[in-house]
Order: sequence, then structure tokens, then C-alpha cells
Amino acid sequence: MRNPIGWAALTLFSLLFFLFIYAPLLVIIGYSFNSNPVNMMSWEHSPLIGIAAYRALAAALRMPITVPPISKALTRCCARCARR
Amino acid sequence: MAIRRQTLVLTTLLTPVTLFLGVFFLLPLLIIALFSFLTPGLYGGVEWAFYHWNYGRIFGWADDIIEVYEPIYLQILGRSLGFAALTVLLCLLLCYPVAFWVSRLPSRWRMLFLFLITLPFFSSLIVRLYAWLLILKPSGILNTVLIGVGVISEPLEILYTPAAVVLGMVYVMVPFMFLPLYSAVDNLDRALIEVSMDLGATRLQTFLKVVLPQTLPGILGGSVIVFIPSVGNFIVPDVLGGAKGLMIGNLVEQQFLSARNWPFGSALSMIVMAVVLVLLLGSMAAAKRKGGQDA
Repeated sequence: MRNPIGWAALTLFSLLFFLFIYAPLLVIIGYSFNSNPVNMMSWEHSPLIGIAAYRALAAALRMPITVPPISKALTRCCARCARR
Repeated sequence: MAIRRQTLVLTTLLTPVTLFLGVFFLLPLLIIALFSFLTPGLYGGVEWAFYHWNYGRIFGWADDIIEVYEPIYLQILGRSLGFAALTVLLCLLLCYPVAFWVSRLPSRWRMLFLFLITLPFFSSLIVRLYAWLLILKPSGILNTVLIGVGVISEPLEILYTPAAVVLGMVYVMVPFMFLPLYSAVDNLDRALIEVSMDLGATRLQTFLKVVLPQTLPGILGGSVIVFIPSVGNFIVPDVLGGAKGLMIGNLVEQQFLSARNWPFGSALSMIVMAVVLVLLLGSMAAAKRKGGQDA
């Protein structure tokens, strides 16, 4: 810490290192919005599918799911958490 | 009486471990060693007859009728060792500065970044390697960005080259290098560094004579943990390697699954094990001798 330039360089290097570690995970997150139905590897952008995916997620979180009675309490708890 | 009781306790405690290792580690190893000297069955499996040409195919005394000697097997083994050594070196160069950086952070941040290092393990290795495929391919993210910025005009052909294999292995192995290195760097005696600087050593001298010897156990530990799985790795070259990135692990996998030549696959893996063992023992002996000189 005595040398601020050295420390800054070290910080930059370390952040790049973490970018290297997380690059594939970021790509996975990004490509989960890929709307190409056939080939996961080629990117196809359609905002509608993105919105549809978001709506489906939102609906799934709010939907009163029909469940066996044992897990009803659990579902209620989850729903309460989701609403929060 | 006390001694008998001690014996009883020791026996009780050690029996499960010994049994477990015997059944799940030693026995498979013995089976591989045995299979490597048996005749390959026609449709996989083995025939119980002695057969030394599995090794002859690799080392050069094949009969040239059924089994043909090919120098390619030893070449692939050499290449795998080279890839693994390069992986160790790159992991070390990447992790060493970062270990220092993380160890100097305030303790809350330190915990966060240590957690971030291990977090990718929560997702599947195959999925993460396929993500590298998306990044590295000619029309992938890396090339798009580099062309967009204007650094290059033609897409780089990284995918399906040895460079891609080494990059993938570095990516997979980085946490295994980081954690032992971090514990060595974290236990570093800062007072010694200050003493060395106060007594007039240059930064380089301080690093070579004070920091490096103290972190050497972490470096050696991390290198061994990275080197051994890297030599036999077959998933990374399978996804990112193509034909030029074939490693000895792929060869063994092909012999067992595609070629159905179990004895030859066993012979190959015995040779890998022997080579790795010799290298490890040699480097450990060298490290010990060096440590003895310093003390």
C-alpha cells in the first residue's frame, strides 16, 4: 500500500483475473436469453422472447400452484417470500 | 492394559479408512495393472492370457502383424506433459499476484473474493467449457469485441488449437492453484519483509530471499494439485481441442469407450501414472535438497 500506482496495477490485474473466471458464467447468463430455438450456439435476438421469458417467470412466481396437501404450507411460505 | 486399549482404538479408527482405500483405490489400480498385461477381447473386455504387446505398441517392440508400433503415443504423452507444465506455469503467474491482492484486502472483502473464487464450482464444468466455445469461436464474443474495437481485422483462430486447450485447463485449474497459494501468502510474516527492506535489500532481493522461500510450500502444493489432473485431463481437449489438441487422457478414453481395447488403455494409463510418479518424486527430492541448502 506504500506504492499507490503498484497497488492500482495489482487491483486492475486482480479484477481482470476475476473477469476471466466469471466470463463463461456471464456468457451463460447472456445466452439464456437466446431466442434461437434450434441452435444454442448461434445468437438470435428477439425482444419478444425475452419479455415472454420474463412474464413467464413473473407468472410462475405469483401463480397459485396446485400441489399435494403436504407441501401446501411450504408453497404458501414460498409465495409469501416471492410477494415480498 | 493401556496399550491393548490403544491398539483397539487405533484398529477401530483405521479399519474403515483402510478398507475404503483398499476397495476403492488400491483394487481398481491393481485391476488396471493386471489388465495392461492381458489380451484384448474381441468385443471389449479381456481374455485371460499374458500379452506384452500392449506396451510394445507404445515402446517399439510390436510384432507388426496384429499390433503396430506407433511413436505417436509417446508424442501425445509428451505433449500432454508439456500442456500440463504450461498450465501450471500460467496458473502460477495468474494466481500469485492475485493472492497478494486478496490477502491485503480488509477482512470482509477478503472473504467475499475467496468465496468468488470457489463459486464457479457450483455450475457444471461442461456448461462452462461450452461457454468458452461461445467466447472463442471465430464469430464468437472475443473476436467480435476485438474486431469492433479495431485491434484485429481477421478473426483469431483460437478454438481447436493447443492454445484453447491450455486456456481451458488454466480456467478449470485456477482455484486449485489459488487456494494453497493464498494460504501460503496469508501466513507470510510481514515483519520479515520490513526487516529486509530496512536492512537495505532491494525489492527484487526481498522477493527472492524472503517472500519466495516462505511461499514455496504453497507454490509446490498448488503446482502438484494442478499438474496431476492436467496431464490426464480429457474433457477440456474434448470440447476445446479438436484434432491438434488431443491429449493422453482422450487416448485412454477412446481405448476404453470407442476402440474397446481395455488392455491397451490400461497400459497407456499405467505409463501416465508411472511418468507422473517419477516426475513428482524427482521434483520433491529436488525441493528437499534445495530446502536443505537454504536452511
